Amino acid sequence: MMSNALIWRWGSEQVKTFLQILSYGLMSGALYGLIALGLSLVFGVMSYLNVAHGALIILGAYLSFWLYQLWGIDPFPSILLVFPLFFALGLLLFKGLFAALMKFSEGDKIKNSLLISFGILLILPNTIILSWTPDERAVTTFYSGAVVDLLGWRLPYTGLATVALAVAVIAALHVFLTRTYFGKSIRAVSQDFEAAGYMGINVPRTYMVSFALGVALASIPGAIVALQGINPDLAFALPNKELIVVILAGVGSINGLLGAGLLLGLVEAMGVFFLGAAYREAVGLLLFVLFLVYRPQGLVGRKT
Amino acid sequence: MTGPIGKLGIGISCLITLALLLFPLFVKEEYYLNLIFLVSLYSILSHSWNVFGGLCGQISLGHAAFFGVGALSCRYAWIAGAPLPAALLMGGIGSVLVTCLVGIPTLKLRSHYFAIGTLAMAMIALITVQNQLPGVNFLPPELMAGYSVISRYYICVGVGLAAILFVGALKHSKIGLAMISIREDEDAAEAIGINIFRYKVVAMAISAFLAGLAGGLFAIYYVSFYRYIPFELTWSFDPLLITFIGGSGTVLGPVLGSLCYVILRETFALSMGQLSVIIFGAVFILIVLFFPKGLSGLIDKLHAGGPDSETEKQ
Amino acid sequence: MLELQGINVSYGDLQALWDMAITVAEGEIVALIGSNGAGKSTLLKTIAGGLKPKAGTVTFDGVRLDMLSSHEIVRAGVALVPEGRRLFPEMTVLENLEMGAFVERARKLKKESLGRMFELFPILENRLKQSAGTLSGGEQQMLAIARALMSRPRLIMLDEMSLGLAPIAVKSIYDTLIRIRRATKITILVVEQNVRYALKVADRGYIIENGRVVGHGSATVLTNSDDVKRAYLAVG
Repeated sequence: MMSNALIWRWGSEQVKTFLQILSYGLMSGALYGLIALGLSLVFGVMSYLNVAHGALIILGAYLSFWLYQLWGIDPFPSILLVFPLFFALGLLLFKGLFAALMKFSEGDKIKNSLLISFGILLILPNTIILSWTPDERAVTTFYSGAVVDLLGWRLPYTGLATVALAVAVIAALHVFLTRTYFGKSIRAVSQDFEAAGYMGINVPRTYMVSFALGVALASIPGAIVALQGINPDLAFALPNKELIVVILAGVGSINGLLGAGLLLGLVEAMGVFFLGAAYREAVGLLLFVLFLVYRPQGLVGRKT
Repeated sequence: MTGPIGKLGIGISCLITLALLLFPLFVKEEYYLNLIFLVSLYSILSHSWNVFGGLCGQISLGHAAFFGVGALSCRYAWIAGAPLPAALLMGGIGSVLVTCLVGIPTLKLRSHYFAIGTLAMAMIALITVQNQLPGVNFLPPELMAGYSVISRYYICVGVGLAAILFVGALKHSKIGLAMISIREDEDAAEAIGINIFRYKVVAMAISAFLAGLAGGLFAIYYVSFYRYIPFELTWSFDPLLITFIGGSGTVLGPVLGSLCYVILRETFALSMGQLSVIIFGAVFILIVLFFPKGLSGLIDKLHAGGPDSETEKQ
Repeated sequence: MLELQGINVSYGDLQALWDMAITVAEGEIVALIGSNGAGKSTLLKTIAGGLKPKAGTVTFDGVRLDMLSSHEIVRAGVALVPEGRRLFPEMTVLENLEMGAFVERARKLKKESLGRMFELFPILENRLKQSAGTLSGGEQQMLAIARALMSRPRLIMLDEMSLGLAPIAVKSIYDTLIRIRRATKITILVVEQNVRYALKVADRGYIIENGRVVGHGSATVLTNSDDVKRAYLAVG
């Protein structure tokens, strides 16, 4: 890789590499947007910061993996099976754990939800390790290595599918939130839950369904991650990405997630191009901290 | 919240202190000395988290950075020739300097934004060290020669006891009360004239100092280590867990929590490390939901049932 | 129609309402008057289900409201226009109105209700796609009332409607309320600091001080009462 690319001519080789890294960055970015989706929804609606969302994504990845191993189901269609399963899991988790938070005051509720999800973050990956060993698993399908080759510019099929999936899911979610009664009620609850109650909206049930939806959304990036290679440690690496994207987009913004994800992917790609692969994470984190301190409302959000 | 401990409590504390001080005279196996060393190390680190998170109410996930900077500052000072106590001090000071540089801007953030901001800082620190200072730091032969587990033991236990006394005093001091009021209700505290920012900085500095000391103890104890190890995020998460399980905001909480943590880890070390973490995680969740005062609170309840209970006065 | 007996409400350890008893008959306009912090808003919130009373009962047409949650109370036919309006700031005027009609019964009649709202508050029809947060004070108040009416309530409660509004806007809204009552026989419970207006519009009133009911009577009696004049009308 180029680590001292300060001297750079518009020579064809460098441009090619630049484009290549850029496109990989954008494809990663699409995945980042998907990863952050469930987290952002739950955080926006009820201010629960579920740091265990990454662990849930990994669980989804393992499920997709096993569905492929045992019954030959390709990861992308496996989402249709894992999504409802995760929705049920989300309902259970909410009823079992997070509902107990209702008795606390607002501030404590937020703090404790962070802590509880932290506990889940400890339990889940380690349970996975115990059940399925820490070995890396991956789903290799017929299209796994395949690329679209445009004069040396290589675009992997999986990457393209990820971008398409990200756009589709976010668009679907947008339609759900703006055109259905229930979706609109979710937005109402996130803006003012007390007033929402006075409208006749069943706020506790809305919380539960939103949470379950957030968990269910983890199944989508899970399937994609299964294609890339999974091990339980990823459960700890993902929260960073998620949080970064959520903050970049602005809390409560679903549409902004795609843009924010792509931004992160781009910034990382630039980091790799100019500083070397080792600093990929650090550059993203730096961007994150800058946004946190100077523009906490994110790209799209409004200043409260 | 443990109030005035009572005569029984003081008596027990003195006995335990005496036992700790005399322990190495009777037990020579390094294994046990190591265990107590670890308990003490974790309790100092947890106390550092406790000052900021338990007393002041700011949940920080960045302590790994304080710990790591303290470890490396101490290590380099020691290798450069400083005597042990001075090197330890360097650990604490180094950590505080880092706070002033990097930590203070994050204080603008509130509640979970603060948590993830500090987490990001710690991760940046980890990655930077992994890239800029790769490899292992070995102990030069002359320092190897003078190495003794027993001296480490006494230093660590000594610092540990000092930390407990310090936090106990802090909790009842004016500064401590200000921190507690910030934790309870930041806006109300500001309304009565407390300079929130200044106290947060003080809490952060004290916290960093203690964490740096703990890092220094790590550095003088382990003969050689990969330089990034003291920056690993586990050093951010462990004190949080330990303090909550032991009882956030209390004096004995971090100690009790550390005791449980080390014992649990040892019990399951031979089988599978994962099981201990799972159990710890489950206990942690239970504590957050049902026992917000942690083990310390449980002990208080037992104590309150006794004949010389303080609750009668209320 | 609405009956409160022995209502005691606390915020944590702080008691706010003591043994309150209020009745409102169908089709009436009743005003709750009293100075700032007297507990009027707390009372409305309790009826609407935002707060649960420590003791006492709230009965609406025989149904115990104090046992129900706020969304069930809306379903029972009670709507609240909260203090400060509490619109959904990032939703459009239309979406806010739609949220008002969330309950089953109201959803079916949404189109018709919208039509009625546009008759009463024509300005809203021009602002349908605008974000609620960008409306003027008077427009926001109209939207808040319209939103509550979308749930087709039989009892509507308005909390401090005139706060922050120009007198002309206040008059216009009160006139609209009277029109609504004439057309639909809806029952109206108003909490107002502007005592003069409240008593002009209401049939009866209750005086609330320090969380207790300290007086009640018909609007005319209250308007002419020396105590009320001294305490409220000189200031209001």
